[in-house]
Amino acid sequence: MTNVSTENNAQKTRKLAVQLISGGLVGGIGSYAAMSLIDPKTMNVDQIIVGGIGLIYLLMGLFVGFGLLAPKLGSKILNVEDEEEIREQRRMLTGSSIAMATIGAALAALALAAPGAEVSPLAGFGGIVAALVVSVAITARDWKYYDEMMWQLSRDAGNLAFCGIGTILMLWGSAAAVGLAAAPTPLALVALVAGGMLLAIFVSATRAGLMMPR
Amino acid sequence: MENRLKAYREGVGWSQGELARRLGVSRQTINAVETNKYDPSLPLALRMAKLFACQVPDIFIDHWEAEENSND
Repeated sequence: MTNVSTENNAQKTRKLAVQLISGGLVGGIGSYAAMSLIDPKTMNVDQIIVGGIGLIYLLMGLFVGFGLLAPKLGSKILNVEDEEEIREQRRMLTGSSIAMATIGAALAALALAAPGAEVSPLAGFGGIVAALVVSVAITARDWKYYDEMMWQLSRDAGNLAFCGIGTILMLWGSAAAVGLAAAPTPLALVALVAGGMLLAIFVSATRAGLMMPR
Repeated sequence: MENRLKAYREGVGWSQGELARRLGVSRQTINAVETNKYDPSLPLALRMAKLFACQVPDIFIDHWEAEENSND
C-alpha cells in the first residue's frame, strides 16, 4: 500500500515537473516571439501590461488546444488523469480553448492599436467586441453541460473578480477624484478587468483543488 | 467536509470516471469531493447515497454537535 502511494506521488511529481517545464518553455518561447515581432521600447507600461495579459490568455488557449489535438501528449501537460478525460471534456475544453485564444489575441491587438499604428483603432476595438461575442456564444452553447462544481467555480470566480476589481476601482477612483493619484487610463481599466478575471479563475480553481497534480 | 466516497467507490471497483458517468458529473468533481475540496449539493449527495445503497451520513462525516440549550 505504501509502495503504491509512493509510486503515485512520484508519478504526480514527475507530471508536475513536465507541466511546469512545458508551461515555462511555451511561455518563454511565446514571450520571445512577441518581443521579436514588437519593439517593447515603443510601448508604454499600460500597453505592455495589456499585451502581456493577452499573451497569457493566448498561450493558455493554445496549450489547451494542443492538448485536444494530441490527447496522449495533452494528458501529460494538462492537469487531467488520462487522455480519456480529455476526450470526455472535449466540448468544454474546445470552447475554453477558443475563447481564451480569441480574448488573448484581441487583448494583444488592442495593446498595439493606435492611430497610424499597425493595428488600427477600429480593428483593436472590433477585436475586443468580436472576442466578447465569441466568448458569450461559447458560454451560452456550453452552459447546459456544466456540472454543479463548474457552476460553483464560475460563481466563485465571478464574485471574487467583482469584489476584487470593484474594490480596486473604488479606491483608485476615489484617490484620483481627490487628486491623490492619477486617474486610471482606459488600458489600465481593460488590464484590471482581464487580469482580475484571470486571477479570480486561478484562485477559485486552486481552492477547488483543480491545480493539484493528478 | 470529510467523506468516505473514495472508500465506497473503490469498494465497488469503480474508477472516478465510472462514478462520474453514473452521477452525470465530471471526473474533476468526483476528485474534488474525494479530496475534500468540494462539498456536493444535497441532490448530488443523495444520488451518491442511492448509488451505494446507504445513507448520506454514511458517506459524509459532519463533526458538528448541537449545543445544549442553556435554558434547560
